[in-house]
Amino acid sequence: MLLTYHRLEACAIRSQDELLTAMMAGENLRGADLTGLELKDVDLAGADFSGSRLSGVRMRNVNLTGANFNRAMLDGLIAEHVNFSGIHAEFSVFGLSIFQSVQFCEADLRRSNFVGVSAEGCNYFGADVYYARFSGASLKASNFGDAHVQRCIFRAADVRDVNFENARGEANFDRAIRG
Amino acid sequence: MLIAQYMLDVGPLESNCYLVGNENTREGFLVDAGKFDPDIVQQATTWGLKMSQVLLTHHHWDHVDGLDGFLGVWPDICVLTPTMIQCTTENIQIMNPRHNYTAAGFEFEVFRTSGHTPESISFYFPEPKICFVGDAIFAGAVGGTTDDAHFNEEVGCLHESIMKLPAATELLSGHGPATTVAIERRSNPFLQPGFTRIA
Repeated sequence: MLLTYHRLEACAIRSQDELLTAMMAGENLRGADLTGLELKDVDLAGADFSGSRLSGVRMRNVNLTGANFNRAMLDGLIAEHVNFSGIHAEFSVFGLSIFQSVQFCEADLRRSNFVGVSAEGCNYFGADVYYARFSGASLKASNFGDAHVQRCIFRAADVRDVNFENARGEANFDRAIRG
Repeated sequence: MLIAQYMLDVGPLESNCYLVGNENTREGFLVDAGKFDPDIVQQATTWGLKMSQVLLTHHHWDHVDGLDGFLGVWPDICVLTPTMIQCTTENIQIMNPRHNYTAAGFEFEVFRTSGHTPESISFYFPEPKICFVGDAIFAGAVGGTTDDAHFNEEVGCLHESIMKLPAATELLSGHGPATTVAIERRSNPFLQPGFTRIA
């Protein structure tokens, strides 16, 4: 199964205006380099960022519902009041990101990398986190209600006060910090 | 550099195989070959690649069982491997740690990352800062080992090589998603002092 591919010399976008212009023009953003971009008060629902590099991007009040982040690099993301609900983000990398008031409801996060994220109080209700890696993550008071957690790895993660009500599947809590 | 990541269905392990291409020279190579997949051959054709090599990170079945299938399609490719391997070609080159090699016009360095298996190696491409690490390290974990001595060997190798690479280096593992040196350095539990292997 081909996951997706990336072209490391792909186009670089360095500002929100540049991004919106490219989207208006119908340009293909798959595999684009958006490293370090700052996004604020913008609606990017349904955009296709598959295979793109968004390392260190700062987001505030951004709507990304239903967007495609399959095999995208989003490491070191700083996201505040961002809605990732319904995104497709299989094999994506969110490691070391910092989330505040972030929604991942019904998102496809299978096999994704959330290692070391600081994500207290986030909402993963109904998300598919099959075989996702949350090792070393700070997830205190997050909501995994109704989520599919089969083979999901919470090794050494802080899962105090996390809601797993009606979560389906068997996850790995090796040395996780529980309440 | 073009990279296509394939998740091969080899049972619950879901091995990764990477097709890498050089847009300028139109040469290509594979990293690991756990199962023959005609889609990979098709993608190489779509990219117009002349396949030159298969690089093997280690010899576990889920990384090499497809080798002869690919050799059937590309009989002239060279197998670059950490130790001798039985396959349908004699065009085999043994790679030595701390030596530099070239694949499809890209220079790379070989690191010894043993512990998971004695022969395990990794391939670091300084441009564009990509390292194929096989089963030495995964997102938030390290490769399975049979005892504490091998675990310590593996962790020692990782600290001596992979963890010294630039923080933004992307690590492409034999299983699961990509990760980076920065993520693993800071948050991989097994690389923190006192965190023991799973018995």
